[in-house]
Amino acid sequence: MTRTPPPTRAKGVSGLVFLFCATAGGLGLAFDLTRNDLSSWWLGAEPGAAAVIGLGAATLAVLAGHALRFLLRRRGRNETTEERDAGHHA
Amino acid sequence: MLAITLNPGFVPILAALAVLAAPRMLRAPTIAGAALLALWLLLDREFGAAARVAQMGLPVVLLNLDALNRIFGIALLLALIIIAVFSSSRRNRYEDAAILSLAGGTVSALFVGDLISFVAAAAFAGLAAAWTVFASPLPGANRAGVRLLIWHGIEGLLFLVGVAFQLRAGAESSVFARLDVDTLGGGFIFAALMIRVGAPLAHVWLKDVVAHASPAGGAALSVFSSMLGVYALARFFPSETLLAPIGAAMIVIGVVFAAAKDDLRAGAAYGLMAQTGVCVALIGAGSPLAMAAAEGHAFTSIFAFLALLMALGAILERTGNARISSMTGLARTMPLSVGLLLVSGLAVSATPGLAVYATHTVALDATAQWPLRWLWLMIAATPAVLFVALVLRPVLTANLQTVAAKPKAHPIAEAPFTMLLGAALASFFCISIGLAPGWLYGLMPADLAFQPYALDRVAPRLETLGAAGVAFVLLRATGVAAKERAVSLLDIDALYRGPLASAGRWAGVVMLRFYGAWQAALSAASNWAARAFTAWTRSCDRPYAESPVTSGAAAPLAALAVFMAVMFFARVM
Repeated sequence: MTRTPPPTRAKGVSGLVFLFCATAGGLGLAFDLTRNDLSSWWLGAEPGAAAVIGLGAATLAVLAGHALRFLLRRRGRNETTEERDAGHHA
Repeated sequence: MLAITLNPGFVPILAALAVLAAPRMLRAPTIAGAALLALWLLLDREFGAAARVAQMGLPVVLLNLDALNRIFGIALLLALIIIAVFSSSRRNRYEDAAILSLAGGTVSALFVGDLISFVAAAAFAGLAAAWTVFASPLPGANRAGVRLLIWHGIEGLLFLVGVAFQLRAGAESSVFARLDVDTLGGGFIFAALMIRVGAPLAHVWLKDVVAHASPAGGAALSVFSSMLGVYALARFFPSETLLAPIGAAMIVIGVVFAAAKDDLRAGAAYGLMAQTGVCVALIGAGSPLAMAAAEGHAFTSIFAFLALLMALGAILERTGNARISSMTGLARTMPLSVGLLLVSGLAVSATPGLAVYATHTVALDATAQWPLRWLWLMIAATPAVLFVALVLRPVLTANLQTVAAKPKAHPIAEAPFTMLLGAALASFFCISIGLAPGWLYGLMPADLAFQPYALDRVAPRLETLGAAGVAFVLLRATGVAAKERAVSLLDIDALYRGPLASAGRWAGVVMLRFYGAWQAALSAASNWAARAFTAWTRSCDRPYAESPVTSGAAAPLAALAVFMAVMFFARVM
């Protein structure tokens, strides 16, 4: 009989968060689409555009995370700290 | 009624002296009492200038109250009361005094009425900010404090040069008035305020000091530092066209770095930079509605980021860091702190019902014009990015429960009660301002009849945040979103802390070597001269020389004879 560590399983609140966000987004989209306002001053203020802005913002946040970590990640011994100065001798 | 003409900011400064000697039980009440007294002095006065004196022909206006500085003063002094509650559980009298000095200097700068007093108060606040960082027990705090001193030193120098050029136009030009960036004086003062407010390239000091300060210090620095710059821009440079693109750049840099940072306190500082950028851009837009929106947005951002940094400070206090990568499972051991993190994060993200929403909608209305459509888009997208960066990332990670092979030996306890109470108080302010913003609108300089909870304003915000949440959860579930890892990111300060600092050290070493060589040459030359002189004097010492000429004494004897002849003839003449 082999002793293997039990597999780690992860559970969280992603489902709950998804539900809340979907409900809030759906409610907002429903109200936005049913309002009788035809005086939108540009494309970004059209009904439904706010949802597109939200989707774009989340995508931007994820892409920015990847890009900055790829380009600007501090490499070397002090990877997790920002204490490496030119005069730092520790 | 006793009429006291005293700048409200002087009260916390005097209280700082008292706190240095006060026992621990009295320090928090002293801080809160000073804030309350300053608030009373502020609210008890009518608008207008008072305490005007003349020093060396220059007007010094120590107190000038109007609607602009009143709204900032109320926010800062209420924040100081909350900080007093938050900081009461720890023992650090020096940090208490530093925070009071920082608050006093900032509030004093709000209420003075001339440039010289403003620069003096702002410089005092800068020194107190560095002291606050020095008082932090975290590693690297001393270096961060020194870096802050350098930034504030440069800022102070720019202020002084700007004021000097302003005074060329006459003594009365020292009194507050709109300044022109195209003039030398106005340009230098503008440059100094760009440092204070954290404009791009000068933005790194805020995240540096907030990340290295203690929990209470970080909260205090977020409140009493860059917001003074926002006030000064609104006072000196309203409608300045340069401010709109600068504010937009601050928004972009702030949200991008906030989305990528692992250290959440630094991420919160970048988030603060983004919201400050909204204020700066609105000041640049310059319409009465935009100015009112800028001032109100600064007011609500103060409370939202105060709450956020207090919640993060509570986590830092117990766990030793505020990194998202270390927060896995934190909701089980620190549920209240994570709950407060959620509420404060929602406040920062301008969620309907919370503080920043009430002024963010005003900002959107103020920029709802065709020439400002890109600024409107950035302002509209900022809450969604901050929602992902400062709410969803940490909260989802904190609620992630893993069944590990080896459970931790020492379970983490909840944060100290006073820290939770302070963070809860700040969150309460966020909720109360958000639900009933009418009194905030009444404080603004411009009359504002605004309905933030009209359906055509709430619906798009729910849409934006909801869509952002759904998208991020899906991206995370599918593995597209980056896993939370312990990484540090480089920023512009890596340039001056790395290559520039190395170049400076190299230049210093070279100059030291030149100096050493010069000193060695001087020493060798003086040694040679001394030996030569000693040899010559010894040669004069021989008692039985053959003749004055062959013994080598001829030259000095001849010189002596010439000297005596010159003196004789000079006296005769």
